[in-house]
Amino acid sequence: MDGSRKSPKPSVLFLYSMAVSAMAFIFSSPAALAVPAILNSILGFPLGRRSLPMKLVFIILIFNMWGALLNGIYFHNEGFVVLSIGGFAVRSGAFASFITLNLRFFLIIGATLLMLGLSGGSRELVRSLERDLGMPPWIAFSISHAFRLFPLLSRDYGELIVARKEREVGTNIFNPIVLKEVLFSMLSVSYERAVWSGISAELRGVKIRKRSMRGKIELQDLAVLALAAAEWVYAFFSSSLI
Amino acid sequence: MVRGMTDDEKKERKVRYTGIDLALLAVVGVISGIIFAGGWSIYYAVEAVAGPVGARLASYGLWFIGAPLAATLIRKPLSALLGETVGAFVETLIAPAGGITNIIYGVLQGAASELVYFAMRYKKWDSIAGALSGLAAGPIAVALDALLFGDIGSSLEMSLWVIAAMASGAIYGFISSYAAKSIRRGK
Repeated sequence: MDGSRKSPKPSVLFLYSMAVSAMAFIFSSPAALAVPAILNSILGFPLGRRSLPMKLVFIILIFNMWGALLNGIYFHNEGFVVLSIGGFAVRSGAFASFITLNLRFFLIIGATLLMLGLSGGSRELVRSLERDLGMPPWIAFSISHAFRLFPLLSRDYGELIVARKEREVGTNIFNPIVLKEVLFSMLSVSYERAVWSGISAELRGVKIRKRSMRGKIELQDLAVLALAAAEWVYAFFSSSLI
Repeated sequence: MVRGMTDDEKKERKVRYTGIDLALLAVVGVISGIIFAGGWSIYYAVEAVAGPVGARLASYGLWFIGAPLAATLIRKPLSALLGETVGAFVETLIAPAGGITNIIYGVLQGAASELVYFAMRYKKWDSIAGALSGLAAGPIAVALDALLFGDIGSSLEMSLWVIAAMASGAIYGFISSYAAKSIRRGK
């Protein structure tokens, strides 16, 4: 089955995403970040549609841009005045920080969407991490199980909100008291369910699950790793390290 | 069977994660992953009104609750580290606002929280331990923010941010471990 695959291994895509995201921690100049950020955005955003709704991605990007703007104004508002709104001046330092931070966000999110889009879903990704990178099977089990719980938890949440409406108690979860009550109820139900699904898993022999064979590295995997290396080399030579 | 075991075998048996522990870890992963994803909007909203210190105080603890929640529910070595890491992994896959860097944050914050339980020799799992585990993750988060977001201020500002992050971690750590403890007690 592994020999006929066309897309790279999810574990290789995970390594790519990690390697590229690490650049955001190390390089700080826009010159070093611009090309990798644009490249990953061009590749990642169209592919990310396969695994995440684009509306959510755009909301995340708008939030991040807002955060980058605030961050620039709070921490780097120095230098000459670029923009003056009322009595408030946005200076060159804030503007440069806004650009750098957005490049980092586009780099990180683009690389992550690329990984999610090509890996064929969270289950495939977790399975590949277990098989190829040695993630312990019991951690892989927990992550896979967490994704199976999503529909159940959203159903519980819907029922809880209906019940709270009928009882005419608050449903606005941005109110900390309501949030605490909703969380407590969901945690309580989930605990019960976890105990029984854990017992069921034990009875089905979760302990003796064997690790499957590691797949071969193919040309497309090497191409992805080479791309990460090329981005690193580019960033290294186009900026000074912090 | 237990009577014939050596001390090492007994210790190994105690640390082994059962199916129930793994299912609980999954529950913590989903709940904390959703909270972590929501934490971004809370942080940005509060930062606009109350500045960096207020934002850290109001929201940073939300990003640390995976560790005390998992540790209080599972009560085994490494549960704090795993709770925070699985939560961060889930966050990355459902709403990657911070992309895969969430996992780096999750592992390091979880390791800091785990150190608290390790220092207590894995004997205390109460709300105080939960508060301390949240508190311990604060400096790590501020340090990573300095690297990734360039959040670097004067020494006074940095100290205030670390204190705010630690206080937030302690508050949310206390609340989450108290809730987890009540649920355990109720069953």
